[in-house]
Amino acid sequence: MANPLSIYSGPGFVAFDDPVNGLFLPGHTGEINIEGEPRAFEAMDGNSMPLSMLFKFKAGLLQSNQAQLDELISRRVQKQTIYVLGFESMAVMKNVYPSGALKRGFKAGEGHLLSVEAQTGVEADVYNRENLFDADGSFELDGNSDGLADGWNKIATGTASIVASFVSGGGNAQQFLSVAGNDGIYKDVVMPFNHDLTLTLSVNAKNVSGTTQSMVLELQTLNAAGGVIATYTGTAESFTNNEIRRVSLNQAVSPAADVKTVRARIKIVTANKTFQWDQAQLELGQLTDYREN
Amino acid sequence: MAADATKIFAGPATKVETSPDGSTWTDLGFMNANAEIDFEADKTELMDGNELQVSGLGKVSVELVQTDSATLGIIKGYRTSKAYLRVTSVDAKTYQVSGIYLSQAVKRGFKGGEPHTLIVTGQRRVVNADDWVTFPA
Repeated sequence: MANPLSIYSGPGFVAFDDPVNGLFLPGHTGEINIEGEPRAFEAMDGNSMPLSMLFKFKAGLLQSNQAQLDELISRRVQKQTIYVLGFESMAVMKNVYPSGALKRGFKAGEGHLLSVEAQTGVEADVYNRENLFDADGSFELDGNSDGLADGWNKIATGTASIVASFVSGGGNAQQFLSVAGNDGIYKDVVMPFNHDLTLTLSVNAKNVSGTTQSMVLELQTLNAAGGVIATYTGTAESFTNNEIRRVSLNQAVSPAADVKTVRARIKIVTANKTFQWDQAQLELGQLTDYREN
Repeated sequence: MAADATKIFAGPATKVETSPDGSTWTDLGFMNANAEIDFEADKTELMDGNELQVSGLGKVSVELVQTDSATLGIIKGYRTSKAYLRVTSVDAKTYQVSGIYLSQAVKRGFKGGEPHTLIVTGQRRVVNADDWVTFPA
């Protein structure tokens, strides 16, 4: 089916991460490509038989100074996780050794380029207008039976439990009883960036407190050490008892420092109130329908 | 690392020089806009499809348009004796390579608007790109 939302394009921003050297965002970039190439052999009848795929990454870094090169040299023997973050998409390539090349052309209008290349037989995880929470956005599983759906954490205090979902289609939902004001749950998504972008957090919510109560959505940007860079708090959403609706926070983010992680927080404004949440979604760009990855 | 436009380097070269020792330099005069200093990674493919960089080949190429016998003589001297070569760009950054033998090719085309060209090339295999050429801070 023809769907313009399935056409992806636009600029990307690259980041490298490994356990030894940490996070590295290389700044201005001229080009980024991830290409898949089939590895095939030719059978006797002339058929080309694909056996596997090879995925090749290439980025042209425009900041070709010594500090940039030193970062690449120290990472050459450490397998990297490479993130490419666009306005509406994210690709994650794991366990790749980066190699570097240099091209200094002395012509007007042609920037010197440090090229970084990598390749692997494993396809990149690609999130094109997808839910960055993956399956955790559906609150279906609670592997350790702590009442919190897998992938989610408590902000502070409160009582969590998994209950039957209030949205059509059934399944489970997250119920949460606050002990103090602004109690709630959060989930971290690693998505390094240091450029302006728009993030949207949304969730289906139901107030089961017995009286009209409010909840709020919040986004935080965290650095590589886990420190909070900025907090973006949405408007408190008032719900009558048993009211169900989808709420969202659409936030333009201009990071003042390198961001490694985005923390999505769902909070209850007042102490001792109960909400249920289901079909949470964090996405790049504008709000779209919920998608269960 | 923040995006920093002051670390983007571009633009034509203003001077190319050679030296036998890295201290006494000889200006090679006018050149055209086809100067390049490159570094290509030598990679070996591993079992999982990864490519590991083990070293690299640095390459330099400049096209001189002063093709007189004096310039030719300077370049010929570095055919059997290792040279230093330094390119200065329009933003006053210098890029110096060392330990290279210089090869030369001459292209004398007798057409209007096309100067005779002395193409000087050199290359060297090293571990890292900054073993081959200086990087600006």
